[in-house]
Amino acid sequence: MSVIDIDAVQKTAEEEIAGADSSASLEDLQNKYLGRKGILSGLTGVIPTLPVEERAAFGKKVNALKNILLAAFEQKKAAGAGPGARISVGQSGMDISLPGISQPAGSVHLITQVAEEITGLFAKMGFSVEEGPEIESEFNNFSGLNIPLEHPSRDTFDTFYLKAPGGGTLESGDGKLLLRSHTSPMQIRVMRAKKPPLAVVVPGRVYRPDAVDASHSFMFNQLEGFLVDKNVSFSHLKGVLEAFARGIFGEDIRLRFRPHFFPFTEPSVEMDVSCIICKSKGCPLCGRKGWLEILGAGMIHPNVFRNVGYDPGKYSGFAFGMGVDRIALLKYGIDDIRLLFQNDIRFLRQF
Amino acid sequence: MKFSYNWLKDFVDIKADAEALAQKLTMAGHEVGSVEPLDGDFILEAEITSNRADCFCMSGMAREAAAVLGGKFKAPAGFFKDMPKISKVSAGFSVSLDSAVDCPLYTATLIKGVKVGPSPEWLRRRLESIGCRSINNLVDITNYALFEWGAPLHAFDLDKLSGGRVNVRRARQGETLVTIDGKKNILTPEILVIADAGRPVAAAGIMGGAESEVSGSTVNVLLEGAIFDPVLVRKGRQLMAAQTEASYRFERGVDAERVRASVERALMLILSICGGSAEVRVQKGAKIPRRKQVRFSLSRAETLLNIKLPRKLASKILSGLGFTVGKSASDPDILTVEVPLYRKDVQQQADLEEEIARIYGYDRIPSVQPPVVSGLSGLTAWQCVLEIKNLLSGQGFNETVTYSLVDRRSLEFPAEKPGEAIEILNPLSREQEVLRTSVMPGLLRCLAYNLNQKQEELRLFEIADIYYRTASAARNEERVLALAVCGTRRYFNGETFREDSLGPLHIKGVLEMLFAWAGLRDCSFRQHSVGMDISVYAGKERLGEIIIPNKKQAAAADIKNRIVVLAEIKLEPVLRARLSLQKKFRKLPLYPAIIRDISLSLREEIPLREIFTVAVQSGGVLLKEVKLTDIYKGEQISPGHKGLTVSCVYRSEEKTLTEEEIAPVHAGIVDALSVRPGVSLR
Repeated sequence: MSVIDIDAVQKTAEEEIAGADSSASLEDLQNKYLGRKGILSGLTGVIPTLPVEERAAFGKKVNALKNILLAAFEQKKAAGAGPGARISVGQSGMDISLPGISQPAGSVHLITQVAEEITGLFAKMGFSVEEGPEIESEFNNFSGLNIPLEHPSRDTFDTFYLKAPGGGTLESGDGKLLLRSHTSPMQIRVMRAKKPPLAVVVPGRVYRPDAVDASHSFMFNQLEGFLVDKNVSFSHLKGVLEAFARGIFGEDIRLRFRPHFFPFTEPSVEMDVSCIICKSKGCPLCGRKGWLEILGAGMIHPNVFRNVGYDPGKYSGFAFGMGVDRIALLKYGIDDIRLLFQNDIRFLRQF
Repeated sequence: MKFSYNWLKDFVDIKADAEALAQKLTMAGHEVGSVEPLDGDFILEAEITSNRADCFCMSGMAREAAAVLGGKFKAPAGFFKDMPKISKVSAGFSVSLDSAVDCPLYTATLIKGVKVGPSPEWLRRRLESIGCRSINNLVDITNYALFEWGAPLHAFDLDKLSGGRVNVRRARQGETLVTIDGKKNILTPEILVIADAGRPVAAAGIMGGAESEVSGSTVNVLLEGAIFDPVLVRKGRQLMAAQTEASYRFERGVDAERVRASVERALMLILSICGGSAEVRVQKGAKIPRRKQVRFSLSRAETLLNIKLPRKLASKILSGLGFTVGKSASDPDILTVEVPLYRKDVQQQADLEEEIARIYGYDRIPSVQPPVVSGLSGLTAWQCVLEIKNLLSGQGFNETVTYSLVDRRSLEFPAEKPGEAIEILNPLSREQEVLRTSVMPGLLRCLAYNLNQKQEELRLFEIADIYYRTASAARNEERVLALAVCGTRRYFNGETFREDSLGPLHIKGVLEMLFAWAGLRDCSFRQHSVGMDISVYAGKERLGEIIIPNKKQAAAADIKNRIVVLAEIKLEPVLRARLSLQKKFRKLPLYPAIIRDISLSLREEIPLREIFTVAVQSGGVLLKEVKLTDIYKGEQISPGHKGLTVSCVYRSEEKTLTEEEIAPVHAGIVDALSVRPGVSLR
């Protein structure tokens, strides 16, 4: 066998590739050179016939040529086969107006997104995230939080109790078991387990026996937060909650703090933001008040500190709780809470 | 509650207009929802918090108005100074209480010779302005006193009470009472009643009886002012399904001071409007408690509220609200504050701090960012779960949030349960009577809903808790990841459209990806026989299962002629693995790998795993990986068989392998495979 001129093969191949004027002819060329019975395959077949000392060098050259040609084919395909560098789209080349190729993304539920946005804001202020069980004891849900069992304030915390197998209420060491009606029992759990300083937010599901309609659900999502340390003041409560509200609703929002009543805080607060729809002019969303109630808060009641074994003379703190669903509805202009739990995929994909 | 602007002005000089007053009250904790003009008056609708029983009346709210406007609260002219004389105290009539706990105070005032008729215009209009219907002058006066002073009163037609006595006692089982709304109530001992010598004549604190009701022919009256146990009233009105202005206030607490004011006010009006004379006053009950003294530290309040609080300012605010403020002889930082009985909500320092703060103005307290108190933690379970949600979303799955409370029927699927379901004691409806033991039925319902909406290619997931009872634990709550797929994935490969049916492998794929991300090792998917559920394991721990519901189960969820696949795994092991994952750098391979393919034909029922196992067992240290590179059926493969190509990847960490070194190893694998029953080389 005479010496084979690999350089010549390369030269011819490159000329032919450049001259290809359709994807079909390019395909043919690729088969001619790189196919199973193609020219390069033939060259490889020659190797055993060469003198031993030449085999390695020859093999390398063939391999190098293979890579060069592969690259040339790819480049030509990308540019579009045909006379000159490019041909017009729509002839036989690629149509960039065809749909792009990707795995279409799914979605994370709006409630998760909003809860994450809120926890993210508090995390930047130094709060950590804790989660707790939805089945709670009467102590953690009520008594520990200074809510007397027979007080009318319990009316607003109407609660699902759990049934014991033989009838009556299912009980644990801490009293009757129930589905938590707010995320506040985590104040008791965390404070019983840890010592100050503490700054914690708790997102989670809560339950109340409310008939389902456009604005009520028997299952909804809350986010609780609390900060306990020495010398924590009402000013800190305002500072943290203002930063949160501006983070969620924007810098130009106006805020007001109104006195309110919660058994587990004293002084207690409700925070309103200027209506995001009417900018406080008055509209149906805000009931023509111009303000939207966003959360309840207050300085943690000394009785709550006593219940968890903290010295109220030494520590102070504030706590707050808000409806994640409510904030999601307000922020995205959704008029029916049921949409959050219907899981219509067309709804889910919007967020 | 509705408040009349003019009525409030009886007690305090208000210069602010109604809107401005509403604004001030709102910012002091009594949110005014609306201000409506009405015949030269304004009606303010305010939300009164449950701790402020004293503000469910004009005088209470007027005191608040005085405090926020800096005015002075005053009782109406002549009030409390010029009270009628009662001729006889306790004669010819007796009051007995079975329990001073159930009824801590009962006063009965007998008024003889009244003339019952229509109310004067001013009285009728005032009551109507706040939404109270006018009945007759006597009943209207008791209501007027209630709305003005907050303690509910009741007037009995004295001549309809038998035996010259009233007894406050629990109802006897089965006793009946026709109330003034005409309803016949069957009573139980949980209901407190006022009884005459024979029978109940009123449900205490809830509603009077029709028989002893004041009417046009009434001449003699028993005017009742009392305190009843809030819990009893609450239970009673729930049992009787009757919420009234009276029960509402008794539940929130009435005190001796307000009872006295209401009674005196009513008596004064009765004598001037209905005539007659007050002849007998009987009072029974527990000892009237003394006013509470609370020590108030100015410096502690200053620290908590972050304001300057001179003694003078604190005294002014507190005395404006009706507290009596004194100094401590020994400590200039301490104020001694005497709390009126109508402010039962004020018990300690913190309560007074709130009083100071809300009158001072929450808006005047500066806003300050606290120093960071929290330690910075590493990756948390919360973040891990978020990452999982993002990973799954990236794989085309949509997160759902379905209800944790379900109907009992939902428990039928899946058949296998972690324990007994926990039922709700007081469910709202049968749709929410039990806590779910699996999230899969929820997803199945979501699939059905979306298929019904003509949606295709459904991939759903949810991370939520399941709940169950076992012999050893009354409650278990466990977080799971549930997945569901249904439909066809139709996709464009650049040249044409292809279709895949979504099936168990689409779930296996994302679970494998998830396990790899978490660093959860040794995961396997096992199906014990064809058509059975697929168990998912991490090592020996069973994480959960992949289930294809049968026709009946699918039909129960209203899904017909569609293949759906569901899965549920415990999330805790995945989180644990991820949270403890320590990634380490491994050196990149120094030497190239050699890849050798093996083409096989094997009986269809032989799983790929068997081929891999044989290859790995025979491959030795140089075999780094075995992977499936092709699978096919068709002409070249005999029926009942499938064709496979697997690639064996060989590499050494020490040198470039040569053909000669690989050949015997690879031949060993080929030999081992070829002797397996049902496997042949191609």
